[in-house]
Amino acid sequence: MKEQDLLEEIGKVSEDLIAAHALPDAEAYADEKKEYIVMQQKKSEYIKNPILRRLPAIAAIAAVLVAGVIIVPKLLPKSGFVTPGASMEQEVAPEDQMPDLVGMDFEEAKNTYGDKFAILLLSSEYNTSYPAGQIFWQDIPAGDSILERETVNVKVSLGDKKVMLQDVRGWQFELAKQSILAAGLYVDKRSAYDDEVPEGNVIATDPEGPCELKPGDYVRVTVSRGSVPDSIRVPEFVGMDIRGAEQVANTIGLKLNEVAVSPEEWEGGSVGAVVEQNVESSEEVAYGTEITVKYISDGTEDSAASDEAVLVQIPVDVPANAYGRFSFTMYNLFDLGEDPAAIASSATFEAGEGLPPFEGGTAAGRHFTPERPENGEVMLEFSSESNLDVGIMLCNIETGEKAQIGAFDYISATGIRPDTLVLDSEKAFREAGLLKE
Amino acid sequence: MKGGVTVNDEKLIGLFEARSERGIEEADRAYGGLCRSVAMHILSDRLDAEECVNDALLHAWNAIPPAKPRRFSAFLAAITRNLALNRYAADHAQRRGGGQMPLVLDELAECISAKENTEHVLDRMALHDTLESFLKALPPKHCTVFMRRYFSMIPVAEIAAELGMRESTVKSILRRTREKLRERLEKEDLL
Repeated sequence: MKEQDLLEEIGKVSEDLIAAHALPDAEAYADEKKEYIVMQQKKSEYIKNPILRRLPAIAAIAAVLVAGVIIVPKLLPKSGFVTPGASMEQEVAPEDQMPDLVGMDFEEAKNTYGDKFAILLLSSEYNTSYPAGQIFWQDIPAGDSILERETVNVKVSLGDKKVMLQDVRGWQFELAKQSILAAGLYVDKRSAYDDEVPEGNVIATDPEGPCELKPGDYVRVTVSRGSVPDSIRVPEFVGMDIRGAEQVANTIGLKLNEVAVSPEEWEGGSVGAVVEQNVESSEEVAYGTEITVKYISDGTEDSAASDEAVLVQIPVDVPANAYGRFSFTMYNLFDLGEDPAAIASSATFEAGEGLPPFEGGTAAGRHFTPERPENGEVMLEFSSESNLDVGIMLCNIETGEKAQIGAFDYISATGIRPDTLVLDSEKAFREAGLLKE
Repeated sequence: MKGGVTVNDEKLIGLFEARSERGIEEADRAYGGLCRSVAMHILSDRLDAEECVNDALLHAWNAIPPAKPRRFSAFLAAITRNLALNRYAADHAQRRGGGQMPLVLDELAECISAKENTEHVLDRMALHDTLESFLKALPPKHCTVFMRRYFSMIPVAEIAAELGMRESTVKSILRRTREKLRERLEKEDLL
């Protein structure tokens, strides 16, 4: 769009708007044509009359003589100097300017300026830069003119939000997970053998509870797999990507000794693939045994890349009383900004009956129809060339509200790492205002 | 009555529908000055402005009937404005010359994204709807200032004098309203 387009469209608004706001009183202009005609007549007379033509020059000479005697001293400022570049516009007195309220206590601001203009609390939000009770944003900039009965909207800080991580050691993992999620934190589940902690219970958390964390912080929860087994069955590493083999070995309690071989030494295999292991699969070995594996390396692959990223599908339950339109975005959990950048986005879905016609979406997608969940769930798909800790965000299309709905640990070569997918649909749909209670 | 404004809109339309040329005279007497003012702010030339108003009256004569404007002043002013803008565009390849047009275009440029999106097609209907709802939602005084400036092209000083405001106040209102309009246009993906 160009500004000429906007100018043109302003001219096409309704007659009511034009009549009510655009046009001054027509009566004030009713004599304009008459004045124009009179001016033309006077101009005509002026041209014809030689005395009249000379009058301006005579008058100008007289004016200069008079000004030199009387007027000029009055024009000069007391200092005798004329300030160059002085503005002819009326200056706004300081008392009529919007003050800078940012950093002021909200109550103090109301007490100080309440008689000049209204200060309206738009929202209270957690803010790491301003202590609780202080204004951190105002919609009318400081220095702007204050209009009659002006209202300035402000946002007030709730301070730096902290949440408490409980000590969940020894808890059953599901209960521990609910407690952590309820606090607004995220769970990264790991597992390990432990002779003392029963299988399925929490061995430890990182960080250790009880402690204060920021909402959205990551809590690594190590869950017991029970006592160390007497023996471990060696899996078939041959054919796996080396990074996937590392993950598997780590999970089951084996160590890998990795030996790189060049593609020329080992024809027929793809870069990154394990091609040999020194202990046959299905053999029983002791916990912690080191297995030597050979894998093809051309020296360019790294642990963060995969030639073929695995596409994963994540079924998300949609509560039976869900109502409204929503979508999902996925983002890097280590992007802890207030509004993390989405690395993947889903289609728009809608649930519930009797919704008004859909008018949202982008200009390009203005007329598409949102999808409906099938069998009470929607299927999300994700893939990436990088190994990521991924967060899933639920977004309310109508209101813009967002809520964390889940997270998972993604390995490009193998997909979602086992037991890392965490989803809490009920809580997320409620937080995003998408439940019909 | 002052200025000879004696015929209301209904009677004006009646005269037009009856194909009475007195309708044109009365319309010129009632709203010609106002329309000349709008045209002058765009074209800065009295003769050109006069021609625009005459053309606008002719357009109105040809449009009514079947058109039946509810607000004759708005109807005539809008026609005059568009004719003046077209004439300005034809006469000026670039923003040259005096008058309010170069200033107004510079001001409205703030509402337009700086990004050059060659793939984007201007959805005029959506823009119209958005503008209409945006203007109706403004505080009345702000809408008046905005429309005086960007519909009627009235200079800031004149708006301030007419409405009893300081010039700085008028400029503040215009700036804030342009910012809000830009946000709205971005939200509606019209930029």
